Amino acid sequence: MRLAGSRQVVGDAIDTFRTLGKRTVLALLGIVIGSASIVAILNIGFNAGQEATRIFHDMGVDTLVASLNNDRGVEDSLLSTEVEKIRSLNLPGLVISPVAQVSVKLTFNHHPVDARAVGVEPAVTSILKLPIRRGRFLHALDTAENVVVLGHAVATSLGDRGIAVEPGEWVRINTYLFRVAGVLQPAEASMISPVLTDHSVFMPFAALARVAQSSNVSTVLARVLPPLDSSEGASRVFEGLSHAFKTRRVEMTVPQQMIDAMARQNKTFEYLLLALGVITLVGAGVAVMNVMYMNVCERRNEIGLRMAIGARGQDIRNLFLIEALALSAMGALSGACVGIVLAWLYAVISQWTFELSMVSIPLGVGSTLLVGVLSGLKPALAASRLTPVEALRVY
Amino acid sequence: MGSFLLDYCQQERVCRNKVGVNGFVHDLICVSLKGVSKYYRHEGQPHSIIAGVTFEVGAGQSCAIIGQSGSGKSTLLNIIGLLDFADAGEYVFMGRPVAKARSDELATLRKMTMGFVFQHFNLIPRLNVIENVALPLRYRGLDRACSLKRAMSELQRVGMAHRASYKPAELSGGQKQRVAIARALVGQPSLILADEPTGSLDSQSSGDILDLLLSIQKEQGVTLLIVTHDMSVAQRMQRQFVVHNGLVEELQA
Repeated sequence: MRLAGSRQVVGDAIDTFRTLGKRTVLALLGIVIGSASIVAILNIGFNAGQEATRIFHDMGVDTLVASLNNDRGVEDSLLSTEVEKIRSLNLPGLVISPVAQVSVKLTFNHHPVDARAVGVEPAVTSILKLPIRRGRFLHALDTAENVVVLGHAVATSLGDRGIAVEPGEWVRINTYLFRVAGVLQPAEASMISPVLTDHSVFMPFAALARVAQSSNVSTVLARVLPPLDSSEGASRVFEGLSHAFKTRRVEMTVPQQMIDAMARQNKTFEYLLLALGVITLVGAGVAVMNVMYMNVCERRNEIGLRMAIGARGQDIRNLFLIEALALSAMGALSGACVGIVLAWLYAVISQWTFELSMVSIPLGVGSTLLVGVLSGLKPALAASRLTPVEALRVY
Repeated sequence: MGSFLLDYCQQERVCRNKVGVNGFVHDLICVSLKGVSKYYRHEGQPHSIIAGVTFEVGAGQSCAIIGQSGSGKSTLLNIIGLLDFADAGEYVFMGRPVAKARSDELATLRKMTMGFVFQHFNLIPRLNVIENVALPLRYRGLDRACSLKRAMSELQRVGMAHRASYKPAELSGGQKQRVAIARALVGQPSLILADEPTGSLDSQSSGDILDLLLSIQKEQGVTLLIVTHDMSVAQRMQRQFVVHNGLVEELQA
């Protein structure tokens, strides 16, 4: 025997909920909140992960930063000696460049601009992925020359009197003249890089030593070459530098570890919110159960009539289960929409790029439907276990 | 469908073929009760509602079960209608004992062979008139269009076709009972059980409803069992059974 048509059953369910009024609205609200929290949480977690990955994407997760701290006492050493020590390190699978920075004043066309003079090896362009707009980057042949590569903001500031700084022009730094080899494209500030690319002028170490005699290597940048693992690369750099600079404390920053830490933090946050969502969902389940029990009580006579005209226990059970499912489905779908809107708002406020997590909808809607059906099961079974004469009895 | 039910359905067809219009056949027994009793427990002590009831109703007969309130007549009707079980005795419905039948088999039997008319109509308020009438057919597995077509034909017979799209709340008591009768008849049952069908109606509507039930009973040759406390209603039936203190006695003409 087939149960009465599904359209009629769903229509019956909607009619029932309309007649039950506020109780249905409250139960529906609980389900919407539960479903919305699950969908929103999954999407926020997903977007947080995407954002964390995006932060490191430009620089690359294969980049390592080693800071050389002077907190064990100031070491009186020459910049050239320090650079030579680093160059002489045997670190297979890694491209490295020491970095030394000082504040300088550049002058072009009688227009002075403050900037950071950054002494680097030519290899730094592949480590920091510095894109050239005009001219070229530093070359191995430039080691002894007075050449600079200008960051985008520095070049713009120098040229804001109408004469743009082009490769081949000369700029003055302190008392030295430097030939401009190239100008960089604008670059976003990286989370881990110690170099503010846009506000820097890149030059060879010998040139930096001329303009600032007391400068030291403050950082060593490295890029891990495949197949070397970034953790293994980090330990090689750490050991090499610790050995070369015994009086200085080496501190490593590994993007992959930061991503992992952020992911762990996000997961903890996600679990916490997920627990809240589950609690809300359980509350919603109790509300559904309450509505369905009231429904069974109020329709006792109808159950008796249906049994008298031939409905079996399982038909009655299915009738109420479908009603619970219809209620949960309405709540789950509305909740999913609300959840997506909430996650989108969160992304907008956090200035993230919103991406929809494809698993969030089936997970959110599925778990809500499951809770709805499980909550509706007990009242449905109670209804199906009534005998016709019990159900028809008028109290 | 199990062999148990197949036997019933076969028996039901034979029974229908032998019952002529405007008459009943004595050799076919529709309902047979032998020493049927029903108890309820109060403070651990059994109290009988009906005790050792024995009678038979032939196919196509119209019978009234009369008695005062609480005499056990509705319990008797529920047992006959397979809505309740007897605690003792034997109930044979259309030649077969039903005591050992499972609840699903009883549901199928009710669906295929019985129609119920209740005192309080028991129409589903959310459904309109035609959907209420079509409901038993939906449980028989008929599709919606076919069910509604047959329901409409039944509504025409009881004079309610013009109210097909109305909700029960928009009908008078007499109209509701006509709809309930249409719902009882739509499955072409061989036994109609009516529990105080005129109990909630005024005298004019009561007379109309009774006329309708009797005309259909004669026209279709169905067995009609009516529970009533109204002697005037009972007198219009072919046979009358009086329930008193749980015992049943047939009134002789």
